[in-house]
Amino acid sequence: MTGFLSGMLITVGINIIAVLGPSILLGFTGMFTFGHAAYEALGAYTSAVLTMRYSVPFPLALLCGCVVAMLCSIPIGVPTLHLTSDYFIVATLGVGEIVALLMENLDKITGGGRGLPGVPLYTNLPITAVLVIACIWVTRNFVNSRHGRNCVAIRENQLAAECIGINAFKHKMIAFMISAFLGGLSGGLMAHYVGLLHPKMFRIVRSEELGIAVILGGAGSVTGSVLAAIVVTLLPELLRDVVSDWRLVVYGLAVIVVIINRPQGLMGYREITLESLRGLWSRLAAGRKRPAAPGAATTGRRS
Amino acid sequence: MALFEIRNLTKTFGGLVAVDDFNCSIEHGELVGLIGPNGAGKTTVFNVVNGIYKPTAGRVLIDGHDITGKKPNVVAEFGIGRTFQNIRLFTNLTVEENVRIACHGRADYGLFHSLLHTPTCRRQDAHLTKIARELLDLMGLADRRDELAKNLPYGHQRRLEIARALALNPKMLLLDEPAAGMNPQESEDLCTLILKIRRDYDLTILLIEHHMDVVMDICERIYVLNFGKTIAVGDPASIQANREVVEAYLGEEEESA
Repeated sequence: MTGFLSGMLITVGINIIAVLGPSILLGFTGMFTFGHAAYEALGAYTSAVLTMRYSVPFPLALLCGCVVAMLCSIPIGVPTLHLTSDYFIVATLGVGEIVALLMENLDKITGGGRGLPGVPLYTNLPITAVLVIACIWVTRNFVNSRHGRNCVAIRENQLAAECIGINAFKHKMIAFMISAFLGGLSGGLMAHYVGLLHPKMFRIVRSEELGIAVILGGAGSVTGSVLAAIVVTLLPELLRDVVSDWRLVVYGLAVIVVIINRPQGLMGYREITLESLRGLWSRLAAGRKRPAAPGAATTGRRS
Repeated sequence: MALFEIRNLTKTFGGLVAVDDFNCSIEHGELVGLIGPNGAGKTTVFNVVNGIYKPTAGRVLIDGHDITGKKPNVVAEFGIGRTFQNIRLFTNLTVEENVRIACHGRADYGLFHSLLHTPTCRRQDAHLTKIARELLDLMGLADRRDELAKNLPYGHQRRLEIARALALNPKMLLLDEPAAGMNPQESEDLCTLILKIRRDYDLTILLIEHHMDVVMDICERIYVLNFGKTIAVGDPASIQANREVVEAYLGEEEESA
Protein backbone atom coordinates (compact mmCIF):
# COMPACT_ATOMS: atom_id res chain seq x y z
CA MET A 1 0.00 0.00 0.00
CA THR A 2 2.84 2.38 0.74
CA GLY A 3 4.16 1.60 -2.73
CA PHE A 4 0.84 2.61 -4.20
CA LEU A 5 0.73 5.77 -2.14
CA SER A 6 4.23 6.90 -3.05
CA GLY A 7 3.50 6.02 -6.65
CA MET A 8 0.44 8.26 -6.56
CA LEU A 9 2.43 11.06 -4.97
CA ILE A 10 5.15 10.79 -7.62
CA THR A 11 2.56 10.92 -10.40
CA VAL A 12 0.94 13.92 -8.77
CA GLY A 13 4.34 15.59 -8.48
CA ILE A 14 5.22 14.96 -12.12
CA ASN A 15 1.89 16.37 -13.21
CA ILE A 16 2.31 19.44 -11.03
CA ILE A 17 5.63 20.19 -12.72
CA ALA A 18 4.06 19.49 -16.12
CA VAL A 19 1.14 21.86 -15.50
CA LEU A 20 3.35 24.75 -14.38
CA GLY A 21 4.59 25.21 -17.95
CA PRO A 22 1.16 25.73 -19.58
CA SER A 23 0.21 27.72 -16.49
CA ILE A 24 2.97 30.24 -17.20
CA LEU A 25 2.06 30.34 -20.88
CA LEU A 26 -1.72 30.43 -20.64
CA GLY A 27 -2.30 31.85 -17.20
CA PHE A 28 0.39 34.48 -17.10
CA THR A 29 1.20 35.27 -20.72
CA GLY A 30 -2.17 34.62 -22.33
CA MET A 31 -1.00 32.05 -24.86
CA PHE A 32 -3.00 28.87 -24.98
CA THR A 33 -0.87 25.86 -25.83
CA PHE A 34 -2.20 22.51 -27.01
CA GLY A 35 1.12 20.89 -27.74
CA HIS A 36 2.95 20.98 -24.49
CA ALA A 37 3.41 17.22 -24.41
CA ALA A 38 5.98 17.77 -27.15
CA TYR A 39 8.43 19.19 -24.61
CA GLU A 40 7.69 16.37 -22.23
CA ALA A 41 8.50 13.94 -25.03
CA LEU A 42 11.77 15.70 -25.79
CA GLY A 43 12.79 15.67 -22.13
CA ALA A 44 11.66 12.10 -21.62
CA TYR A 45 13.42 10.58 -24.62
CA THR A 46 16.57 12.67 -24.20
CA SER A 47 17.08 11.76 -20.55
CA ALA A 48 16.06 8.12 -21.06
CA VAL A 49 18.44 7.58 -23.96
CA LEU A 50 21.24 9.24 -22.00
CA THR A 51 20.80 7.10 -18.89
CA MET A 52 20.17 3.85 -20.81
CA ARG A 53 22.71 3.98 -23.61
CA TYR A 54 25.38 6.31 -22.29
CA SER A 55 25.10 5.67 -18.54
CA VAL A 56 24.88 9.37 -17.86
CA PRO A 57 24.10 10.07 -14.18
CA PHE A 58 20.38 10.64 -13.63
CA PRO A 59 20.48 14.31 -12.49
CA LEU A 60 22.69 15.27 -15.44
CA ALA A 61 20.45 13.34 -17.87
CA LEU A 62 17.38 15.09 -16.44
CA LEU A 63 19.04 18.45 -16.89
CA CYS A 64 20.02 17.57 -20.47
CA GLY A 65 16.39 16.64 -21.17
CA CYS A 66 15.24 20.03 -19.86
CA VAL A 67 17.86 21.90 -21.86
CA VAL A 68 17.04 20.03 -25.08
CA ALA A 69 13.32 20.77 -24.61
CA MET A 70 14.14 24.42 -23.93
CA LEU A 71 16.46 24.74 -26.93
CA CYS A 72 13.87 23.13 -29.20
CA SER A 73 11.34 25.72 -28.07
CA ILE A 74 13.45 28.49 -29.65
CA PRO A 75 13.07 27.52 -33.32
CA ILE A 76 9.42 26.68 -32.62
CA GLY A 77 8.80 29.99 -30.85
CA VAL A 78 10.43 32.29 -33.38
CA PRO A 79 7.82 31.78 -36.11
CA THR A 80 4.81 31.05 -33.86
CA LEU A 81 5.03 33.62 -31.06
CA HIS A 82 4.13 36.42 -33.46
CA LEU A 83 0.79 34.75 -34.07
CA THR A 84 -2.29 35.95 -32.27
CA SER A 85 -3.92 33.59 -29.82
CA ASP A 86 -6.10 31.31 -31.95
CA TYR A 87 -3.45 30.87 -34.62
CA PHE A 88 -0.90 30.15 -31.93
CA ILE A 89 -3.08 27.35 -30.55
CA VAL A 90 -3.25 25.69 -33.95
CA ALA A 91 0.51 26.03 -34.37
CA THR A 92 1.18 24.40 -30.97
CA LEU A 93 -1.21 21.62 -31.91
CA GLY A 94 0.82 20.98 -35.03
CA VAL A 95 4.11 21.04 -33.17
CA GLY A 96 2.79 18.57 -30.62
CA GLU A 97 1.79 16.08 -33.27
CA ILE A 98 5.02 16.56 -35.23
CA VAL A 99 7.17 15.76 -32.20
CA ALA A 100 5.09 12.68 -31.34
CA LEU A 101 5.41 11.46 -34.93
CA LEU A 102 9.15 12.15 -34.92
CA MET A 103 9.51 9.98 -31.82
CA GLU A 104 7.54 7.28 -33.58
CA ASN A 105 9.64 7.39 -36.72
CA LEU A 106 13.13 7.88 -35.31
CA ASP A 107 12.99 4.25 -34.21
CA LYS A 108 16.77 3.79 -34.20
CA ILE A 109 16.94 6.17 -31.25
CA THR A 110 13.52 6.05 -29.67
CA GLY A 111 12.37 2.51 -30.33
CA GLY A 112 9.57 3.92 -32.49
CA GLY A 113 6.10 2.52 -32.20
CA ARG A 114 7.31 -0.47 -30.20
CA GLY A 115 8.24 1.88 -27.42
CA LEU A 116 11.40 2.25 -25.42
CA PRO A 117 11.40 -0.30 -22.59
CA GLY A 118 13.87 -0.70 -19.80
CA VAL A 119 14.40 2.90 -18.75
CA PRO A 120 16.10 2.70 -15.33
CA LEU A 121 13.71 3.53 -12.49
CA TYR A 122 15.58 6.38 -10.87
CA THR A 123 12.65 8.65 -10.06
CA ASN A 124 11.69 8.35 -6.41
CA LEU A 125 9.57 10.31 -3.98
CA PRO A 126 12.28 12.47 -2.33
CA ILE A 127 13.72 13.58 -5.68
CA THR A 128 10.25 14.34 -7.02
CA ALA A 129 9.22 16.20 -3.87
CA VAL A 130 12.32 18.40 -3.91
CA LEU A 131 11.90 19.19 -7.60
CA VAL A 132 8.19 19.96 -7.22
CA ILE A 133 8.89 22.42 -4.43
CA ALA A 134 11.76 23.98 -6.37
CA CYS A 135 9.66 24.33 -9.52
CA ILE A 136 6.72 25.89 -7.71
CA TRP A 137 9.08 28.29 -5.96
CA VAL A 138 10.83 29.32 -9.17
CA THR A 139 7.51 29.72 -10.99
CA ARG A 140 6.16 31.85 -8.19
CA ASN A 141 9.33 33.98 -8.26
CA PHE A 142 9.06 34.36 -12.00
CA VAL A 143 5.44 35.51 -12.05
CA ASN A 144 6.16 38.04 -9.32
CA SER A 145 9.28 39.42 -10.98
CA ARG A 146 9.51 42.18 -13.53
CA HIS A 147 9.82 39.58 -16.30
CA GLY A 148 6.72 37.73 -15.15
CA ARG A 149 4.74 40.93 -14.61
CA ASN A 150 5.65 42.02 -18.13
CA CYS A 151 4.18 38.73 -19.36
CA VAL A 152 1.02 39.42 -17.37
CA ALA A 153 0.82 42.88 -18.94
CA ILE A 154 1.02 41.25 -22.36
CA ARG A 155 -1.77 38.88 -21.39
CA GLU A 156 -3.92 41.79 -20.25
CA ASN A 157 -3.35 44.08 -23.21
CA GLN A 158 -0.47 43.50 -25.56
CA LEU A 159 -0.69 46.86 -27.30
CA ALA A 160 -0.71 48.81 -24.06
CA ALA A 161 2.16 46.67 -22.79
CA GLU A 162 4.24 47.47 -25.83
CA CYS A 163 3.46 51.16 -25.47
CA ILE A 164 5.03 51.18 -22.02
CA GLY A 165 8.22 49.70 -23.38
CA ILE A 166 7.66 45.97 -23.02
CA ASN A 167 9.15 43.85 -25.79
CA ALA A 168 6.28 41.42 -26.30
CA PHE A 169 8.14 38.91 -28.41
CA LYS A 170 11.09 38.69 -26.03
CA HIS A 171 8.89 38.11 -22.99
CA LYS A 172 6.70 35.57 -24.75
CA MET A 173 9.90 33.77 -25.68
CA ILE A 174 11.12 33.78 -22.09
CA ALA A 175 7.79 32.35 -20.89
CA PHE A 176 7.85 29.81 -23.69
CA MET A 177 11.38 28.64 -22.88
CA ILE A 178 10.71 28.34 -19.16
CA SER A 179 7.56 26.34 -19.83
CA ALA A 180 9.44 24.06 -22.23
CA PHE A 181 12.15 23.56 -19.62
CA LEU A 182 9.55 22.52 -17.04
CA GLY A 183 7.94 20.23 -19.61
CA GLY A 184 11.29 18.59 -20.24
CA LEU A 185 11.74 18.04 -16.53
CA SER A 186 8.37 16.40 -16.03
CA GLY A 187 9.02 14.23 -19.09
CA GLY A 188 12.40 13.10 -17.75
CA LEU A 189 10.91 12.25 -14.37
CA MET A 190 8.05 10.40 -16.01
CA ALA A 191 10.45 8.35 -18.17
CA HIS A 192 12.43 7.22 -15.15
CA TYR A 193 9.32 6.52 -13.14
CA VAL A 194 7.28 4.54 -15.67
CA GLY A 195 10.32 2.77 -17.13
CA LEU A 196 8.76 2.58 -20.54
CA LEU A 197 8.33 5.27 -23.16
CA HIS A 198 5.90 5.23 -26.02
CA PRO A 199 5.08 8.06 -28.46
CA LYS A 200 1.40 7.64 -27.64
CA MET A 201 2.06 8.97 -24.14
CA PHE A 202 2.81 12.36 -25.68
CA ARG A 203 -0.01 12.73 -28.13
CA ILE A 204 -2.68 15.41 -27.97
CA VAL A 205 -4.54 13.72 -25.13
CA ARG A 206 -1.67 14.53 -22.79
CA SER A 207 -1.44 18.13 -23.99
CA GLU A 208 -5.18 18.49 -23.49
CA GLU A 209 -4.94 17.21 -19.95
CA LEU A 210 -2.37 19.86 -19.12
CA GLY A 211 -4.32 22.69 -20.75
CA ILE A 212 -7.51 21.59 -19.03
CA ALA A 213 -5.82 21.52 -15.64
CA VAL A 214 -4.76 25.17 -16.10
CA ILE A 215 -8.28 26.23 -17.08
CA LEU A 216 -9.83 24.35 -14.18
CA GLY A 217 -7.33 25.73 -11.70
CA GLY A 218 -7.78 29.24 -12.96
CA ALA A 219 -5.64 31.26 -15.31
CA GLY A 220 -3.12 33.46 -13.57
CA SER A 221 -2.85 31.39 -10.42
CA VAL A 222 0.12 29.15 -9.63
CA THR A 223 -1.58 27.56 -6.65
CA GLY A 224 -4.71 27.06 -8.72
CA SER A 225 -2.76 25.13 -11.33
CA VAL A 226 -1.07 23.03 -8.65
CA LEU A 227 -4.42 22.28 -7.07
CA ALA A 228 -5.95 21.35 -10.41
CA ALA A 229 -2.99 19.09 -11.24
CA ILE A 230 -3.55 17.24 -7.97
CA VAL A 231 -7.28 16.85 -8.56
CA VAL A 232 -6.91 15.89 -12.20
CA THR A 233 -4.34 13.20 -11.25
CA LEU A 234 -6.07 11.81 -8.20
CA LEU A 235 -9.69 11.86 -9.25
CA PRO A 236 -9.42 9.29 -12.05
CA GLU A 237 -7.32 7.04 -9.82
CA LEU A 238 -9.85 7.18 -7.01
CA LEU A 239 -12.69 6.57 -9.42
CA ARG A 240 -10.75 4.10 -11.50
CA ASP A 241 -13.41 1.40 -11.54
CA VAL A 242 -16.19 3.85 -12.22
CA VAL A 243 -14.73 6.08 -14.86
CA SER A 244 -11.60 4.48 -16.35
CA ASP A 245 -11.80 5.40 -20.04
CA TRP A 246 -14.49 7.95 -19.36
CA ARG A 247 -11.83 10.13 -17.79
CA LEU A 248 -11.63 12.55 -20.70
CA VAL A 249 -15.39 12.77 -20.93
CA VAL A 250 -15.46 13.78 -17.28
CA TYR A 251 -12.71 16.35 -17.92
CA GLY A 252 -14.61 17.73 -20.84
CA LEU A 253 -17.79 18.08 -18.80
CA ALA A 254 -15.85 19.62 -15.92
CA VAL A 255 -14.35 22.22 -18.24
CA ILE A 256 -17.74 23.08 -19.70
CA VAL A 257 -19.27 23.44 -16.24
CA VAL A 258 -16.36 25.56 -15.00
CA ILE A 259 -16.33 27.79 -18.07
CA ILE A 260 -20.06 28.44 -17.83
CA ASN A 261 -20.21 28.98 -14.10
CA ARG A 262 -16.79 30.30 -13.28
CA PRO A 263 -14.93 31.37 -16.41
CA GLN A 264 -11.94 32.55 -14.41
CA GLY A 265 -11.39 29.00 -13.12
CA LEU A 266 -11.41 27.83 -9.53
CA MET A 267 -8.76 30.27 -8.40
CA GLY A 268 -8.78 32.79 -11.26
CA TYR A 269 -6.06 35.42 -10.71
CA ARG A 270 -5.85 34.60 -7.01
CA GLU A 271 -3.35 32.64 -5.01
CA ILE A 272 -3.64 30.62 -1.85
CA THR A 273 -1.22 32.18 0.56
CA LEU A 274 -0.39 31.51 4.17
CA GLU A 275 -1.98 34.82 5.10
CA SER A 276 -5.20 33.98 3.30
CA LEU A 277 -5.37 30.60 5.03
CA ARG A 278 -4.72 32.26 8.37
CA GLY A 279 -7.37 34.83 7.58
CA LEU A 280 -9.81 32.06 6.74
CA TRP A 281 -9.00 30.26 9.97
CA SER A 282 -9.49 33.33 12.12
CA ARG A 283 -12.77 34.09 10.39
CA LEU A 284 -13.95 30.54 10.93
CA ALA A 285 -12.85 30.71 14.52
CA ALA A 286 -14.65 33.99 15.05
CA GLY A 287 -17.68 32.30 13.59
CA ARG A 288 -18.76 35.24 11.52
CA LYS A 289 -19.17 35.57 7.84
CA ARG A 290 -17.93 38.66 6.14
CA PRO A 291 -19.44 39.69 2.85
CA ALA A 292 -16.54 39.32 0.49
CA ALA A 293 -15.62 39.06 -3.15
CA PRO A 294 -16.19 35.63 -4.72
CA GLY A 295 -13.45 33.28 -3.68
CA ALA A 296 -12.03 35.72 -1.17
CA ALA A 297 -12.86 33.40 1.68
CA THR A 298 -10.11 31.00 0.80
CA THR A 299 -7.80 33.20 -1.14
CA GLY A 300 -5.69 36.27 -0.95
CA ARG A 301 -4.15 38.68 -3.30
CA ARG A 302 -0.89 37.58 -4.86
CA SER A 303 1.82 38.53 -2.46
CA MET B 1 15.80 72.77 -32.22
CA ALA B 2 12.34 71.40 -31.62
CA LEU B 3 12.03 68.53 -29.18
CA PHE B 4 9.51 66.72 -31.32
CA GLU B 5 9.02 66.91 -35.03
CA ILE B 6 6.84 65.25 -37.63
CA ARG B 7 7.92 65.85 -41.20
CA ASN B 8 5.75 65.29 -44.26
CA LEU B 9 3.90 62.41 -42.66
CA THR B 10 1.56 60.51 -44.93
CA LYS B 11 -0.35 57.37 -44.05
CA THR B 12 -2.63 55.57 -46.44
CA PHE B 13 -4.82 52.54 -45.87
CA GLY B 14 -5.41 51.06 -49.29
CA GLY B 15 -6.87 53.93 -51.30
CA LEU B 16 -7.76 56.02 -48.24
CA VAL B 17 -5.36 58.79 -47.33
CA ALA B 18 -5.78 58.98 -43.55
CA VAL B 19 -3.04 61.52 -43.00
CA ASP B 20 -1.77 63.66 -45.83
CA ASP B 21 1.58 65.44 -45.60
CA PHE B 22 1.28 66.38 -41.93
CA ASN B 23 4.00 68.58 -40.48
CA CYS B 24 4.39 69.60 -36.90
CA SER B 25 7.13 70.85 -34.70
CA ILE B 26 6.81 71.09 -30.94
CA GLU B 27 9.20 72.88 -28.62
CA HIS B 28 10.23 71.56 -25.23
CA GLY B 29 7.53 72.26 -22.67
CA GLU B 30 4.80 73.15 -25.11
CA LEU B 31 1.25 71.93 -24.77
CA VAL B 32 -0.16 71.46 -28.24
CA GLY B 33 -3.62 70.39 -29.32
CA LEU B 34 -4.54 68.26 -32.31
CA ILE B 35 -8.17 68.65 -33.25
CA GLY B 36 -10.48 67.89 -36.10
CA PRO B 37 -13.81 66.25 -36.86
CA ASN B 38 -14.22 62.48 -36.53
CA GLY B 39 -12.12 60.57 -39.00
CA ALA B 40 -9.73 63.45 -39.56
CA GLY B 41 -6.70 61.26 -38.92
CA LYS B 42 -5.74 62.45 -35.44
CA THR B 43 -5.41 59.05 -33.82
CA THR B 44 -3.62 57.79 -36.92
CA VAL B 45 -0.97 60.44 -36.31
CA PHE B 46 -0.55 59.10 -32.77
CA ASN B 47 -0.43 55.52 -33.94
CA VAL B 48 2.28 56.32 -36.45
CA VAL B 49 4.36 58.28 -33.92
CA ASN B 50 3.91 55.42 -31.50
CA GLY B 51 5.00 52.75 -33.96
CA ILE B 52 1.69 50.93 -34.10
CA TYR B 53 1.45 51.86 -37.79
CA LYS B 54 4.34 52.29 -40.18
CA PRO B 55 4.05 55.58 -42.08
CA THR B 56 3.64 55.50 -45.85
CA ALA B 57 5.99 58.47 -46.05
CA GLY B 58 7.57 61.00 -43.75
CA ARG B 59 9.65 61.06 -40.62
CA VAL B 60 9.17 61.34 -36.88
CA LEU B 61 11.92 62.77 -34.71
CA ILE B 62 12.30 63.15 -30.98
CA ASP B 63 15.25 64.97 -29.49
CA GLY B 64 17.07 64.65 -32.81
CA HIS B 65 16.57 60.86 -32.97
CA ASP B 66 14.73 59.42 -35.92
CA ILE B 67 12.09 57.05 -34.57
CA THR B 68 10.18 56.55 -37.82
CA GLY B 69 8.75 53.06 -38.06
CA LYS B 70 10.31 51.87 -34.80
CA LYS B 71 8.34 49.37 -32.71
CA PRO B 72 6.08 50.71 -29.92
CA ASN B 73 8.33 49.40 -27.15
CA VAL B 74 11.35 51.13 -28.70
CA VAL B 75 9.41 54.37 -29.11
CA ALA B 76 8.52 54.15 -25.42
CA GLU B 77 12.19 53.85 -24.58
CA PHE B 78 12.83 57.08 -26.47
CA GLY B 79 10.58 58.78 -23.96
CA ILE B 80 7.17 58.94 -25.59
CA GLY B 81 4.27 57.86 -23.40
CA ARG B 82 0.68 57.75 -24.52
CA THR B 83 -2.89 57.09 -23.51
CA PHE B 84 -5.62 55.58 -25.65
CA GLN B 85 -8.92 56.88 -26.90
CA ASN B 86 -10.55 53.63 -25.83
CA ILE B 87 -8.94 53.02 -22.47
CA ARG B 88 -6.44 50.17 -22.49
CA LEU B 89 -5.62 49.26 -18.92
CA PHE B 90 -4.42 45.95 -17.53
CA THR B 91 -7.94 45.34 -16.32
CA ASN B 92 -7.43 42.31 -14.10
CA LEU B 93 -4.51 43.85 -12.24
CA THR B 94 -4.66 46.29 -9.38
CA VAL B 95 -4.24 50.00 -9.84
CA GLU B 96 -0.80 49.86 -8.28
CA GLU B 97 0.33 46.97 -10.49
CA ASN B 98 -0.77 48.87 -13.59
CA VAL B 99 1.59 51.70 -12.73
CA ARG B 100 4.33 49.49 -11.36
CA ILE B 101 4.61 47.47 -14.54
CA ALA B 102 5.16 50.69 -16.45
CA CYS B 103 8.06 51.43 -14.06
CA HIS B 104 9.80 48.19 -15.05
CA GLY B 105 12.12 50.03 -17.40
CA ARG B 106 13.87 51.47 -14.34
CA ALA B 107 14.81 48.04 -12.99
CA ASP B 108 17.60 46.15 -14.67
CA TYR B 109 17.90 42.85 -12.81
CA GLY B 110 18.20 39.84 -15.10
CA LEU B 111 16.13 36.72 -15.51
CA PHE B 112 18.36 34.80 -13.12
CA HIS B 113 17.48 37.26 -10.34
CA SER B 114 13.82 36.96 -11.26
CA LEU B 115 13.77 33.18 -11.04
CA LEU B 116 15.64 33.03 -7.75
CA HIS B 117 14.07 36.14 -6.19
CA THR B 118 17.49 37.40 -5.16
CA PRO B 119 18.04 40.37 -2.85
CA THR B 120 18.85 42.50 -5.91
CA CYS B 121 15.45 41.64 -7.34
CA ARG B 122 13.70 42.36 -4.06
CA ARG B 123 15.48 45.68 -3.57
CA GLN B 124 14.72 46.93 -7.07
CA ASP B 125 11.12 45.75 -6.85
CA ALA B 126 10.66 47.63 -3.59
CA HIS B 127 12.00 50.73 -5.32
CA LEU B 128 9.52 50.30 -8.18
CA THR B 129 6.67 49.99 -5.70
CA LYS B 130 7.78 53.23 -4.06
CA ILE B 131 7.84 55.11 -7.37
CA ALA B 132 4.45 53.68 -8.34
CA ARG B 133 2.92 54.77 -5.03
CA GLU B 134 4.31 58.28 -5.39
CA LEU B 135 2.73 58.52 -8.80
CA LEU B 136 -0.61 57.28 -7.51
CA ASP B 137 -0.44 59.86 -4.75
CA LEU B 138 0.14 62.59 -7.28
CA MET B 139 -2.73 61.40 -9.45
CA GLY B 140 -5.11 61.15 -6.52
CA LEU B 141 -5.46 57.40 -6.83
CA ALA B 142 -3.61 56.40 -3.66
CA ASP B 143 -6.72 55.25 -1.82
CA ARG B 144 -7.66 53.00 -4.74
CA ARG B 145 -4.28 51.31 -4.97
CA ASP B 146 -5.46 47.76 -4.33
CA GLU B 147 -8.59 47.90 -6.43
CA LEU B 148 -8.70 46.10 -9.76
CA ALA B 149 -8.35 48.55 -12.63
CA LYS B 150 -11.59 47.32 -14.20
CA ASN B 151 -13.55 48.27 -11.09
CA LEU B 152 -12.51 51.91 -11.17
CA PRO B 153 -14.97 54.55 -12.25
CA TYR B 154 -14.42 55.83 -15.75
CA GLY B 155 -12.76 59.11 -14.83
CA HIS B 156 -10.32 57.32 -12.56
CA GLN B 157 -9.48 54.85 -15.31
CA ARG B 158 -8.50 57.74 -17.54
CA ARG B 159 -6.33 59.15 -14.78
CA LEU B 160 -4.76 55.77 -14.18
CA GLU B 161 -3.83 55.59 -17.84
CA ILE B 162 -2.07 58.94 -17.54
CA ALA B 163 -0.31 57.73 -14.38
CA ARG B 164 0.86 54.65 -16.23
CA ALA B 165 2.19 56.73 -19.11
CA LEU B 166 3.98 59.01 -16.62
CA ALA B 167 5.64 56.01 -15.00
CA LEU B 168 7.78 55.73 -18.13
CA ASN B 169 9.33 59.04 -17.14
CA PRO B 170 8.59 60.34 -20.64
CA LYS B 171 9.84 63.50 -22.31
CA MET B 172 6.73 63.66 -24.36
CA LEU B 173 3.18 62.64 -23.62
CA LEU B 174 0.53 61.87 -26.23
CA LEU B 175 -2.96 62.11 -24.77
CA ASP B 176 -5.75 60.73 -26.92
CA GLU B 177 -9.05 62.29 -25.82
CA PRO B 178 -8.32 62.34 -22.10
CA ALA B 179 -11.58 64.17 -21.36
CA ALA B 180 -13.82 61.89 -23.40
CA GLY B 181 -16.97 61.04 -21.49
CA MET B 182 -16.23 63.47 -18.67
CA ASN B 183 -18.65 66.07 -17.36
CA PRO B 184 -17.62 69.75 -17.24
CA GLN B 185 -16.40 69.53 -13.64
CA GLU B 186 -14.32 66.44 -14.34
CA SER B 187 -12.77 67.93 -17.46
CA GLU B 188 -11.91 71.06 -15.53
CA ASP B 189 -10.13 68.95 -12.91
CA LEU B 190 -8.38 67.15 -15.73
CA CYS B 191 -7.11 70.44 -17.16
CA THR B 192 -5.64 71.37 -13.79
CA LEU B 193 -4.02 67.94 -13.59
CA ILE B 194 -2.53 68.13 -17.08
CA LEU B 195 -1.02 71.53 -16.35
CA LYS B 196 0.33 70.24 -13.06
CA ILE B 197 2.02 67.17 -14.48
CA ARG B 198 3.51 69.23 -17.29
CA ARG B 199 5.13 71.48 -14.71
CA ASP B 200 6.16 68.75 -12.27
CA TYR B 201 7.50 66.34 -14.87
CA ASP B 202 8.87 68.90 -17.29
CA LEU B 203 6.72 67.43 -20.05
CA THR B 204 5.89 68.29 -23.58
CA ILE B 205 2.33 67.33 -24.41
CA LEU B 206 0.44 66.66 -27.61
CA LEU B 207 -3.25 66.29 -27.00
CA ILE B 208 -6.19 65.11 -29.07
CA GLU B 209 -9.48 66.36 -27.72
CA HIS B 210 -13.03 67.01 -28.77
CA HIS B 211 -13.95 69.08 -25.71
CA MET B 212 -13.23 72.53 -27.12
CA ASP B 213 -13.31 74.12 -23.68
CA VAL B 214 -10.40 71.89 -22.65
CA VAL B 215 -8.43 72.52 -25.81
CA MET B 216 -8.97 76.27 -25.86
CA ASP B 217 -8.27 76.50 -22.17
CA ILE B 218 -4.93 74.76 -21.90
CA CYS B 219 -3.35 74.41 -25.35
CA GLU B 220 -0.86 77.00 -26.46
CA ARG B 221 -0.98 76.00 -30.05
CA ILE B 222 -3.44 73.96 -32.08
CA TYR B 223 -3.22 71.92 -35.26
CA VAL B 224 -6.48 71.29 -37.06
CA LEU B 225 -6.88 68.28 -39.31
CA ASN B 226 -9.73 67.56 -41.69
CA PHE B 227 -9.77 64.47 -43.91
CA GLY B 228 -6.06 64.02 -43.25
CA LYS B 229 -5.10 67.51 -44.34
CA THR B 230 -3.85 70.24 -42.05
CA ILE B 231 -6.31 73.08 -42.44
CA ALA B 232 -5.07 75.42 -39.73
CA VAL B 233 -2.29 75.96 -37.21
CA GLY B 234 -2.25 78.65 -34.57
CA ASP B 235 -3.10 79.81 -31.07
CA PRO B 236 -6.58 79.14 -29.67
CA ALA B 237 -7.91 82.60 -30.50
CA SER B 238 -6.88 82.44 -34.14
CA ILE B 239 -8.24 78.91 -34.51
CA GLN B 240 -11.60 79.96 -33.12
CA ALA B 241 -11.71 82.79 -35.63
CA ASN B 242 -10.64 80.63 -38.55
CA ARG B 243 -13.45 80.24 -41.07
CA GLU B 244 -12.18 76.99 -42.53
CA VAL B 245 -12.05 75.37 -39.10
CA VAL B 246 -15.58 76.43 -38.28
CA GLU B 247 -16.73 75.05 -41.62
CA ALA B 248 -14.97 71.76 -41.03
CA TYR B 249 -16.82 71.34 -37.77
CA LEU B 250 -20.19 72.81 -38.67
CA GLY B 251 -20.27 72.35 -42.44
CA GLU B 252 -20.27 75.04 -45.08
CA GLU B 253 -23.25 77.33 -45.26
CA GLU B 254 -24.33 76.12 -48.68
CA GLU B 255 -24.31 72.51 -47.50
CA SER B 256 -25.92 73.02 -44.16
CA ALA B 257 -29.37 73.62 -45.61
